[in-house]
Amino acid sequence: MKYSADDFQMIKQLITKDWQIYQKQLAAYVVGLLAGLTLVGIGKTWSFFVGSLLLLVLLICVGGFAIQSSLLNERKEHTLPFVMSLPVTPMTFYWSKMLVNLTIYLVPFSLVAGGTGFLVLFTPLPNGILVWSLLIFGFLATIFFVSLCAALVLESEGWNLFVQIGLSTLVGPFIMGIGMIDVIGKNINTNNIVWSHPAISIFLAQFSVVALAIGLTSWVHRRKTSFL
Amino acid sequence: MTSSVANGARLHYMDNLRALAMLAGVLFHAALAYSLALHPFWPTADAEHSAWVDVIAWFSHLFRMPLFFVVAGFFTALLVAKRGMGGMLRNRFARVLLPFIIFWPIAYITMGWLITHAVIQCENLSPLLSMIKQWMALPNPPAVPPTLMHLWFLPYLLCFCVLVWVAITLEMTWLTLIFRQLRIGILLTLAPLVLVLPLASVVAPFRAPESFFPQWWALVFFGLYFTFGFQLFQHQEIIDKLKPYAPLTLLFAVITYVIFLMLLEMKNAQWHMLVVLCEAYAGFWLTLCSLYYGKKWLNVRNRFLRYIADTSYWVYIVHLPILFAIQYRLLDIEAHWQVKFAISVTSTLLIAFASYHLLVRNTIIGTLLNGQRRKT
Repeated sequence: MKYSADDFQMIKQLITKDWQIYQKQLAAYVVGLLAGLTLVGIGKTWSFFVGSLLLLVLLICVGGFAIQSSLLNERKEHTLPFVMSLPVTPMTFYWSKMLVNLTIYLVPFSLVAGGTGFLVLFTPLPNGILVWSLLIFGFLATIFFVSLCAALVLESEGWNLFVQIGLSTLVGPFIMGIGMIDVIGKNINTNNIVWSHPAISIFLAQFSVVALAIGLTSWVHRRKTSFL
Repeated sequence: MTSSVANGARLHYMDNLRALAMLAGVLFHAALAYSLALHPFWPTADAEHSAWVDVIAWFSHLFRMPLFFVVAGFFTALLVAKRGMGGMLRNRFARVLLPFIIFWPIAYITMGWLITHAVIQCENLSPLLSMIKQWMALPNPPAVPPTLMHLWFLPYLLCFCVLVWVAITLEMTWLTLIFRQLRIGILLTLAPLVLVLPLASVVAPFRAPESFFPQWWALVFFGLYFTFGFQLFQHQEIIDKLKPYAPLTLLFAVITYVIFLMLLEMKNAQWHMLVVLCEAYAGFWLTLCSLYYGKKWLNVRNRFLRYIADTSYWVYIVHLPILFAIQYRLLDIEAHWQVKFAISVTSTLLIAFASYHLLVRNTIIGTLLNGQRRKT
């Protein structure tokens, strides 16, 4: 499918619309992120854990609320008939939703993941924790992408909530699970950054799930000739 | 006044104050090499030092960066009025974030190289360099986290600009309401109290927040000054209202600073709150006096001052590596600290100004730092 300049203009307008609707929440998240980073920067053990927890919760919330307000609420409020009256194809609509959610999520995600990497590498924290934390960030990104793709494909609000809540509950078991893999868990408290086979396999699995989810969603939307 | 400024009329005193605050930083960093208080901690600490250096250096330190953030807040409000929120953020990303991304790695690598070079070449090492030499001799020397160095103010400035967007998006109009209700008497007597809390959590005099992680005290302390500057844009009459109080405020600020120094000299932890109180009041009063006297004496359109204002950003960015390179050389030379101070400051400024004129002013770097130059 080829896109014209008008399509790009329309994608831009739809992104701007979502941005304007979402910017109050995003402003509040910026304050939360700053508070989290500041707590981590105090350098005390308690503040490190409180700050990290706050950042982790915020990351999950940013993704969840972005999907909720830009996709699920629109459906609930029956905005679709109005969107159908615009010169917008299902694919243009799909790309605008995908891009706005990616922007909203990936900016704080990169900040937090980069900050964690910096903290691990340049403070007395054991460097071995890097692989473990990157796997957790990879998992958070994966559940965001899967939830986003589900929201783009599934019409049912119930199913979307099931996917979002179900995946979020897996964060804890995942953290525990990878800690129990010998070659990952044993290196957490050392200064060795070990890119072991299990770690690389998990990364590849996360990447494959994300690619598959985006691929499937794009395929579903490409086949659509109308919104209904 | 505000609308005419927003339409393009220049506020020369604000430009000049910003330039002076930046250039005062060069003098401050040069002076620290001859400071008694920072002798154990400063890389270029010289065997020649004097307590008088501390008296003068810390005096400027109390209001130099606060003044810079007031001016920065003022210009941020001007940008919002002139170009809107998006325009302000775009401008700040281009003038603050981009220079930081470009110049921080260069400055960091250069400073690292200079320290290594000094440790090997210098005979009379400063206490800090001696410690680094011992570290370097270890089989597995500990990794030192990178710091923002003297460019710490750039990420903070950017952070405050983003927070301006947050405050306006979340409709935090109560900030403006508080400022509108503020009487000059309250501003002079009670406003500095809000600075006590952030200052109480750090050693006095406060040090630069050089960590890559935001420091809460610095966010609050400099953020309050930034907010003051932002609100000042809408209420510029406040500076004129200072007229009857300015000489007395200056006198009280100097007296408070003297008490601050005396308390510091006692080195008694029980006096910490009193030290912080003096630090907050002296710093705030001196900042207000700078604004008032700056408007009185520096509000002139002058080609020389305009040139200095254009130069100051570049000079500040490059001054520290140049200064350290010179002061490391001076460690092995026997001379009075005043001579060494004069040599290091003059040479640093000469090199920085010459490099600006030859490499920056009419090049893309000049546009990056100061925008397109307007003909005066």
